[in-house]
Amino acid sequence: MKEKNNKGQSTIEFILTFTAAVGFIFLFLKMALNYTNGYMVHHATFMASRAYLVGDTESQQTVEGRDKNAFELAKSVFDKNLPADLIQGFDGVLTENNPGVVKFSVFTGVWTEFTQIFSVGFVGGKDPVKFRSESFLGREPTRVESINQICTAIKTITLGSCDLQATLEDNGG
Amino acid sequence: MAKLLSSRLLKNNLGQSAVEYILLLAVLSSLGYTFYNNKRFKDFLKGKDGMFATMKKGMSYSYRYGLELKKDTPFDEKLDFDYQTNKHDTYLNPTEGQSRFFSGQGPYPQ
Repeated sequence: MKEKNNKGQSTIEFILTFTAAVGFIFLFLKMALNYTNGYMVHHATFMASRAYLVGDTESQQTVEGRDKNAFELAKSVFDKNLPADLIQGFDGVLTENNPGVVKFSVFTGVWTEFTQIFSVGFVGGKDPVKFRSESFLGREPTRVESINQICTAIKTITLGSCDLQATLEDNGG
Repeated sequence: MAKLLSSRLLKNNLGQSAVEYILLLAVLSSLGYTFYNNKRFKDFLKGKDGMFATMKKGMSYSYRYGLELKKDTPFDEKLDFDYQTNKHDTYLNPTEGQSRFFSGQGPYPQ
């Protein structure tokens, strides 16, 4: 029969304290990861907002069509900067604040809202933390809008249509 | 014979550390249980204004607005802000009632 001794006591004590210490580290590590994930989402939203700002295409002939196309472009830029598995359980959806719809033009751009677990285990409760990333860089007028504005200006001066080219000013230079 | 065996078993220190472990565990468990069931302690950790709830709110607010959450800030209202007014804390300074963004007051000199 094996003699009773105190061998292994330090190992057991080490395991107990090590588990507690590692648990404590992971507790704060998860909280810190929320911020890291947040930075990545902020970056992706900002890049998407840049694409939304200048997005324009010749394939669409209406302002609405071009805005829709710009938002599709913004979404693809967002997905490119934030691949699907980069943040585990990411539930954010990119949303646009269209210049034709948003009440205050300063809020024209894109945003996304997502949730994250606060920390490990039971710490901090079961309710997730809600994050909203916003980037309001605005939106440049599309070429269709520019054409319409020029046409309106020509119509005002010539009192006719703008189907034909008209010289508005020629200083002879 | 039985008496001899019994006194041999009793007169040594085998199992002392085990007994001490058990006693210490009992003391710590009761101490932990008392703390955990204490209302003030519970209120401090849990609840609507507990430590973790405050930390969560602070995270959400500062992430969105880039500002520190103050005690008098209406958190729920700010978190549900849906761009119907200009009262976005990053944009509008609530204490001065004007935009935080600025531009030149007069034209550039010619």
